[in-house]
Amino acid sequence: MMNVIWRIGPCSVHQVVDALRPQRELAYTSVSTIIRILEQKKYVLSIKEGRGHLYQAAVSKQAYQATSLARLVSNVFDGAPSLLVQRLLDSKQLSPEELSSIRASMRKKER
Amino acid sequence: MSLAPLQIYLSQNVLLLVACGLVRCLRFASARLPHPLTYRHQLHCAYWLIAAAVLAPVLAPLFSSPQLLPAAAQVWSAPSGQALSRVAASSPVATLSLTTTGTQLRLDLLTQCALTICAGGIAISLTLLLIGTRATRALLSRAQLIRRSGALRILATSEASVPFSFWRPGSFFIVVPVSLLTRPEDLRIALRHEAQHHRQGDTWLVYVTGLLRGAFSLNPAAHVLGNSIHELREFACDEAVIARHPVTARRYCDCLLWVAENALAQDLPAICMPMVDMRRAHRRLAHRPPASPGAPEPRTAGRPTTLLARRVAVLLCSPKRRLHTFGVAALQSLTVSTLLVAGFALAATVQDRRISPSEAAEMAAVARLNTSFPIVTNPQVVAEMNRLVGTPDGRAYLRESLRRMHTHEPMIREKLQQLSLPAELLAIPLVESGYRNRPQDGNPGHGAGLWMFIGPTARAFGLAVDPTQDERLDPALETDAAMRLLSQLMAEFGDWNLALLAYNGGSDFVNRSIREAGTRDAFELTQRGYENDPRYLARVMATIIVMKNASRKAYD
Repeated sequence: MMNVIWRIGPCSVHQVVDALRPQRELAYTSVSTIIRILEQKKYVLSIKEGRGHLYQAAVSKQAYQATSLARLVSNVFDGAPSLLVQRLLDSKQLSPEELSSIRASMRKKER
Repeated sequence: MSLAPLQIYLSQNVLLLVACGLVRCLRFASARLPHPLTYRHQLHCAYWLIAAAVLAPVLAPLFSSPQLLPAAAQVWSAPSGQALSRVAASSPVATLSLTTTGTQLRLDLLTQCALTICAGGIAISLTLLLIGTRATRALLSRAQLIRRSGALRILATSEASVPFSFWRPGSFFIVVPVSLLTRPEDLRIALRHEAQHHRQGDTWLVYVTGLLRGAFSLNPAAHVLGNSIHELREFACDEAVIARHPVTARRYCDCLLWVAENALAQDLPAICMPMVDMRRAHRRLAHRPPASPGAPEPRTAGRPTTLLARRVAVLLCSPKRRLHTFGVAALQSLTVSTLLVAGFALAATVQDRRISPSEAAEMAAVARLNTSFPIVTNPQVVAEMNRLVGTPDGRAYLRESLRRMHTHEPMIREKLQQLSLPAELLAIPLVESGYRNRPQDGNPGHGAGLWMFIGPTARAFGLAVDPTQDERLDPALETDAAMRLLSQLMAEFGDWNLALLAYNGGSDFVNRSIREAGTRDAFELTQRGYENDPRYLARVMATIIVMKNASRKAYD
């Protein structure tokens, strides 16, 4: 749902429902409830537009990824990011391009 | 101290044990029938059994139930007549005597213990319910409303990972986790399941069962019954959703398993009805010892051990045909009536041997029939009746005395008729000697024989009493003397109660007492201290009343 909002910018619930189709056939009330919960958690902002509301992301995709990753590392990997990387390398078949990209990032970080 | 609260609480505990057994039997029998009962019917039967177990002991005292079971315990006014004398000034201490072991327990302490356990359990349950309600209301206040229809509200929350239903007076809630909103088909199944819990009344009955568990917290049957009902609720709910809606058992099971995966980390208050309750499964897994390699397989291997596994097994193997309505009614009636019979039978297993003032008044009314003898009931007489009938040794004394009385009764009755004296005077030797022909002891002031004449009185009525001969020990001669003495006293005082007082203390003493006290009321004279034995008159009166009600109270 957040991916749709980041992609299309400020949008109504109807627009989110349409953007999710045909991969996800969700009812309007379901999407509306999820967006309101995202708003409650301050990931989404609502703007009054006529009789309805428009919703836009309150956090950037990078910030959201960082928060989610921090939560994942804390809850699942005992607060050790190296375990996460190890698991990623063990379980996921990475292409040579992806591996070289990771190596480049690590070298850049070491400098 | 009234026996009723203790009797009711103990009977309820025993009946819950019976109800637990009956529910187990019903489920066992139903599972083996070619056309089993629906889980809804089994659940209703369990509710009826619990209601009967709790209410039958309350209602049983209103009906006189025949004694179908042997008496398990007896309640006495005091452990013995002597103990009753010691505490007569303060409040008497009633005891519960367990007839199987002979152990005596104080009734007041037992009643206090039972009431403390019951009230303490209810208080703890109420506190837990209150805490659970507050936590759930806080969760509901943060949840997002999806739909509202009358008193029903459907909400979504990211704080719960399992759908659940909750009731508070006037409001019905169904709460679903946000993750379920992205699975429309599972969402529909979950909503139907939780709505069915509301329809079955499970969401408000969970409060009742919680309080019952608290009230009978030390009774394992209450907890086993609670677990059985929890299972039956879920089975009945699953069964109803499959029957009422176009959803296959396999699809329903998929939904349950998906919810269960998400429910592993969930810890909801006990008043919430989650679609899948993983709390018990968690506890069971936590207490299970780790399997060692080479160890034999547990007895439960191959059988579904968790409620979720049983629910899936039941859903996938559900029979097509169910028991006919007539069969359902017959089975339900049979189990509930078995419990009611047990309830009424239990009501008579604790025998209250004490005599209440109202019962004493009824017995006195019976004793007054066909006699002009002045029969009085007052607190002193009731206390003496309880000493005779309400204590184990008093009852033994009475029983033995009455057995001995039969030997002398024809002779005494004949002499009473000859002098036109009332038959109530048969009670005097019972009080004096217990109908034992007792010889003179070392004290010359003490009496001898059935009527316990002292030496000077015996000689005054023509009986020879000297070191070589004691005619008081001839029952016929002493009875003859006693008849003449009593006739003389009655002629002198014109009142049997005063005559009895004079028989015990002497006519000179009674005459002086009447003069000094200015009353001819024998009981008032006794109370004002004009007596030889403060309990004598009340004891004779109590003996007369008990003797004339022999059919009412058994002495054994």
